[in-house]
Amino acid sequence: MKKLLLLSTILLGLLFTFSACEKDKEKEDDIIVIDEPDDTIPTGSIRLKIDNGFEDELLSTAQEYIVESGDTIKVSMIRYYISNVYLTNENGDTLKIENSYYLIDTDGKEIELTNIPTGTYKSLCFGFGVDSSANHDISRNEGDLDPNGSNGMIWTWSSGYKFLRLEGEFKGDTSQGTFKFHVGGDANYKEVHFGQMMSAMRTSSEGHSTMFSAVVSESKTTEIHLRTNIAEVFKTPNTIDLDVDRQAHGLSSKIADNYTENFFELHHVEVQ
Amino acid sequence: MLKFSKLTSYILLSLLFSSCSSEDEQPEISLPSVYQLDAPSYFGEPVKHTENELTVKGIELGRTLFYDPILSKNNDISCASCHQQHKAFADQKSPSLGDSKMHLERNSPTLFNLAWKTDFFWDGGASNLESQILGPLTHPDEMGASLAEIIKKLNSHPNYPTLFQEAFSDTIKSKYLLYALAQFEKTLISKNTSYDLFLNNNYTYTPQELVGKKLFEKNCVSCHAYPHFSDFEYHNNGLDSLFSFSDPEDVNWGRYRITFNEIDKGKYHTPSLRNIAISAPYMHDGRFSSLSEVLDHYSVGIKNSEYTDTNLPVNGFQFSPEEKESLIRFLETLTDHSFINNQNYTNPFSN
Repeated sequence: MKKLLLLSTILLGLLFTFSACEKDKEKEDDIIVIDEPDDTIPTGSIRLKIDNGFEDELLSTAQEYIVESGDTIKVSMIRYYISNVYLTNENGDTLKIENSYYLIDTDGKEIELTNIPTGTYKSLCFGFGVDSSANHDISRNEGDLDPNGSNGMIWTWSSGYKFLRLEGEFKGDTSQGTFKFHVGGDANYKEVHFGQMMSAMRTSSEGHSTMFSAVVSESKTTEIHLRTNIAEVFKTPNTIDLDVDRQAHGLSSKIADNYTENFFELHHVEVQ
Repeated sequence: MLKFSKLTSYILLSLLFSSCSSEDEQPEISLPSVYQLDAPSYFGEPVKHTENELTVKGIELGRTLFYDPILSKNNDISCASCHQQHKAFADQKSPSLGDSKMHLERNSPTLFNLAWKTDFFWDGGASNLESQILGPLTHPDEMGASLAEIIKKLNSHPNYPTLFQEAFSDTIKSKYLLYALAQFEKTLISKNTSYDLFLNNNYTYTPQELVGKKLFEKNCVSCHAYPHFSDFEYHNNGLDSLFSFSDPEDVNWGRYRITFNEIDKGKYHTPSLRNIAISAPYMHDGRFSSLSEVLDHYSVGIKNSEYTDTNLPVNGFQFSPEEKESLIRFLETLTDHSFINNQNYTNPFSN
């Protein structure tokens, strides 16, 4: 089935991070914001499908995994937010998905993006966590950010979202028990970027190869499959040793560095 | 009184207009239902929330919700249980007692002049009032409810769906619950202490109060700054000297648990001293039960550490008993009787 529908090259394990999803104010005019359907241009849909995994396998909460430090873990829950999704086409036009805040749970999530102008998209960009504007004012948020249904993703005493909740059991070299990683805070909001940096998102980071391509056709749905690699939370660039690090101060920023690098992988793109 | 009459006239006007429009089938006229806070200019500009504009209907709804135990898990306590008007919207428990009947880790703060504050909680964890309200509503030892439960209860209530519709032109949502409560709380304005009267040449201090005022201006005003009697900053006032807890989220870190900035260990928000004489106990954890104990702390009880505020004298202020008495007399002049008796703030269910 997949083969029939396969449009793009299957791309594995590619991830580039930049700090430029929306920073360039001069180019703000070039960004198209879609909030209501425009009948005059042909549009299609994108389904952003996010699964959670450990190395090359889909995550199983029943399975034990060995992380970089040599500790054994079993994941009982992983939840995280992604926000501010941007897509850039081959002409360099950047499309911002309005109010794009999504809570991804252990079982993953399918996000439907409709009214996407047809064309070939060469870059996908989003934030890991919740941007400071939404993070500092929980009260006005709706949808996946609504404090009514945020599944324990809010610190009520510090009025901010947990960007990542990763919990489970571990067996270390000298200790064993449960671990709970709760990471948030503006400094830990990170941008995740796939593909070519287009002119509309000019950045100091250059020289990355174009490894993302998604064609959106009229009345069709293009599926972009992303997969996380939970092993990376414990690995690159900071090895997390559960015996010593699980309650250490500064753990959050170490984990945030880890989810910036290689945590999301572009699995493949297909059209249905 | 002025506020009350303004409010009433809005209501009358809106009744008048709505009846006209239904009879004559005129297009709906939008009335100026936006509410302006009534405060002296020396208070400065109030902080505005991006979305939550104060309206007469929103404030009324917030006042009703503030006093309604429907917001707590077991329908037994309301915001007003721990924020009582005659105590300047604090309580006199040490520390406060919530829905689970567990003693809380923090002392209930007073509620007034909140529209001039930029951050909330003793450690400043919330950056606006609307979001701060989420804390006590959902904390298991405070009101203990989930927003989903509260909204369900409000939706099946005979009046609330209409009241929310009137205030926000929408169905009941989490954000409107927080908005309405914040709107009411922002109207709680304490502006008639003797200090305010003095500024308007309507108060003459007694000799002892004047001695206290001079002492206050020499020793206390740098943090408890005029006119709010707070600099709205964070200070380590030497209550404790050891800051070493295994949990990075331990409440005893003070502001450090929010910022993870080394210099913020043991820092807490400077509380306003307006209405201080009626809002015991004192400090973030309510450890002192009288102003005398507080002054003893500043006088001889400061514990020095590398985090203690350098504005505090290493050996304390060493106030004499007479100086303490004078300071207390001055602090007592900061009780705002018109505030604690203001009928716009009372429990609407008992009216």
